[in-house]
Amino acid sequence: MVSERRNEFRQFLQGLAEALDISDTQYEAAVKHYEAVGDWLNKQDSPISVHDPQIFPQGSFRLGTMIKPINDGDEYDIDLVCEMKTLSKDRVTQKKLKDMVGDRLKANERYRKMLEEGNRCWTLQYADSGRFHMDILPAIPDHDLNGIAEMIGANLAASAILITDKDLRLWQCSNPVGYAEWFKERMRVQFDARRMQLAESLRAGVEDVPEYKIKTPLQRSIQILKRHRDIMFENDRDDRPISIIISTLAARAYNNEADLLDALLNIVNKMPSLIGRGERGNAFVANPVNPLENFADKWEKHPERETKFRNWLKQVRADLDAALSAESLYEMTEGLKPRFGDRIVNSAVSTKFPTRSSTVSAAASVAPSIRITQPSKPWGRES
Amino acid sequence: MNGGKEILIHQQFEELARIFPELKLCQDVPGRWVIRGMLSFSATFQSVTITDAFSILMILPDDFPDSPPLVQETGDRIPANFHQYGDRTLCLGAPVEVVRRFKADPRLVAFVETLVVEYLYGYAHLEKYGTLPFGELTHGCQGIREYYQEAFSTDDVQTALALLKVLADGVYRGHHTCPCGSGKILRKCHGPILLGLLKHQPEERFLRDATNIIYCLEKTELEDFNWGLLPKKLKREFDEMARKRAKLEKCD
Repeated sequence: MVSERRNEFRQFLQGLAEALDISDTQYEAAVKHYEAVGDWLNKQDSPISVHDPQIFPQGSFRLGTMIKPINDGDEYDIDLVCEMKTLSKDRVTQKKLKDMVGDRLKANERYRKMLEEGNRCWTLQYADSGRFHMDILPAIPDHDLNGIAEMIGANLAASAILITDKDLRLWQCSNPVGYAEWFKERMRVQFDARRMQLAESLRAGVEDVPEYKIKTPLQRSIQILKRHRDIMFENDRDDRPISIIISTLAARAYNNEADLLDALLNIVNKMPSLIGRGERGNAFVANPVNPLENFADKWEKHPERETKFRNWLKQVRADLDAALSAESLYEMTEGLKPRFGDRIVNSAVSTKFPTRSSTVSAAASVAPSIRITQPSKPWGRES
Repeated sequence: MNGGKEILIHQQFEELARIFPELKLCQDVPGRWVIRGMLSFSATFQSVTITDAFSILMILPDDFPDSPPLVQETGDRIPANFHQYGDRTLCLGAPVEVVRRFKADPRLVAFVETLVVEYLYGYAHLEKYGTLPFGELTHGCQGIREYYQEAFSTDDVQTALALLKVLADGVYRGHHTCPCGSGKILRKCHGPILLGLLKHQPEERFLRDATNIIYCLEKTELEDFNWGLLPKKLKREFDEMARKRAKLEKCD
């Protein structure tokens, strides 16, 4: 009985994560869009092409941990970096760098209409089916690494960049490519195994299988955790745990478990113990590719955020336990609806347990008979 | 928590569950009451009977039963572009109309048997026969605009907005001049209609409706738009937005 529930829960979690994922079509559309932006920046007659601008994704889109927004109507947010490969900080100011990218985007009639200006980035608002926007963050390579290369290795340090601060006065260190490499390394065993498997089933070479099609239990676990967080903090946005902290702690906790449930349980159990302490006793979640940077730096000013983060993980653990000790699949999934949302849970159940979802024929026997007399006209807001 | 409200919710739910036994009442987080499950019905309109079942989620608002529940279809059957709000809440009818009908009989069972079942019947009818049985109001802001222009018996959107402003600002005084331009006092002009509408929904809703109408004005209408017709709160919000936008932190 217990092992049966465990198996069902396994399948359910898999279905849940799949339902949370963005579709391959959406992924591919987003890639096509940002590659087109890259081409525009790099075109021969582009005044900035001499600086060799390279556009690449960062954040959850790069890590493969993107999830659908809670409300279907909300937009996906895709974070991009535009790195001017041949520029350096003694040759350009923060403001100049930002304007360079903005001016070039404005020179394109289509982009000009979609463009919005942020403090340090440019946002392209895509109106088509995908419902997403892209934040493009201008950057330059970071050449003086102040010993970071010794700490994390020259390979990871080579991709370090400088981005502007919010006031366009200072440079800030960042290394999204290095972070993604570190993240991938943490799940290497499962990643390689799955890619090979998929290649075999497709009768293709391993290199021919696009990396985004692989989803390891680490990535799946992070997607599930993020959704749980989104719902739990829906009305408490300020204290919502940020994704980079979740991803970093989860990746550090992950032991390359092959099974999603094992991975998730281990990750949730271990994450709290991986929050370190800084010199002042403050919570410290180090950026793995810049160990001096604390992802949890805001927790010092807002200590309640650490408490809420820990309580959130306890709640996840309690919800997993409740699901595992449920009497039936029905009881299990009903209990999870408040945590993950009705639509997504139903969708996971109907893909993984098609025979269990309620059928219309069964409904007819209990259906009350209703006579409609004065109906109101349905009415919808334009999308 | 308010014990009286809880008892009321339980009572109303019991009555509902007698007719729709596959629905369940849950308190997802303290104070947030929802009803979820399969809604099975057999409904007849002009001798066409449809028997069907939909997976639904009903969210009881904080001020229930002053406001009607919000309903979502959770079985991935009704596509997002069919009469729903951005958060996938079903548009059961023009907002004022939904409130009016709920107020007339503020019980869950009545709400489900009429508004919800009618909506689902309508969708099932579309699925089965390719047509909507009851017709539909124009979508979106245009629908709101039509609703108010009809309610105020005017073809002029500025007149409708002027009257709506009275509701949105919450400044109805019977002895004030009616903003429709008749020269009469409100009490002897549009007053009774305004008071009738006021009973059905709070000021914020009128504010939202006015906002929607303004948002969708045609370019030519905007050119000679009288900005004095902006509801006060909306004007304040615009100012606030302009200020916020100036220091918006986009990338973080």
